[in-house]
Amino acid sequence: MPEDLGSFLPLSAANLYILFSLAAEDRHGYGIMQEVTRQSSGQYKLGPGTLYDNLQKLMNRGMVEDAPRRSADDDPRRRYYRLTEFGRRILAAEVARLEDLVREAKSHLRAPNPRRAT
Amino acid sequence: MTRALYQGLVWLHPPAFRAEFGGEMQWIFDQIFDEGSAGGLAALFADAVVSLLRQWIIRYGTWKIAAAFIGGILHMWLVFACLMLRPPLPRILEPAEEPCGTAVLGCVALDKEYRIPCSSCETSPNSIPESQR
Repeated sequence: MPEDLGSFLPLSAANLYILFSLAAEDRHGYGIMQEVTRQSSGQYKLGPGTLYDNLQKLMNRGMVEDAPRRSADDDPRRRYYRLTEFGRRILAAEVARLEDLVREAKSHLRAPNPRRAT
Repeated sequence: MTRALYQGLVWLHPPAFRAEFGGEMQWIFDQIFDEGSAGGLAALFADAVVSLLRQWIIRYGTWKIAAAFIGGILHMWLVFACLMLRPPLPRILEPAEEPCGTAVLGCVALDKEYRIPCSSCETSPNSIPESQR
């Protein structure tokens, strides 16, 4: 598994939300869509096509994997997905990157006299 | 009807993608269909169409085939345009009425005239008047 996390960053909005929604628990596709809508307060909605296109990429990169079904009564078409350890490290690296960005942005906004171009 | 239409859109996806995620896409459609949200269904159809184009054109490299096809048509068009625009071949502008029977050839595009001596002048070049050489 590649350890150069920087080459995977920054994550796209869809990838970030999908990894974020899987951080707490394993979910099926529809569960991921609902969780993304909840996390973004309805401002970002994933359709199934966009979701599975991104899920396929994340699975190919080893960040997400299939999880076992929760019960035998589940609809056979429903699959569960889980975050891998590598995916969790990528998500942590992205969150750290965003924290740095926010910190720097705040410090610039607090500056009393912004420099102007000469 | 609506369900069959969505099923058709899912079916049109590349086989590998359809085999892996088609069933779950259909299941999600059923869930949203049961909720009865018209806006949700419209968004699902729009997403399916975009997904269809994205999968075929970007992920499965069909754009290369399309680019090759368009490139071939452009190439043929360029060859045709060059053939249409090339200077015409020299042709006889007027019958030779010179005393020695010199033929006058001309190229309209290059606005030039070429005088070709007749066979009798070739054998005795001095018979061509100086002004016609």
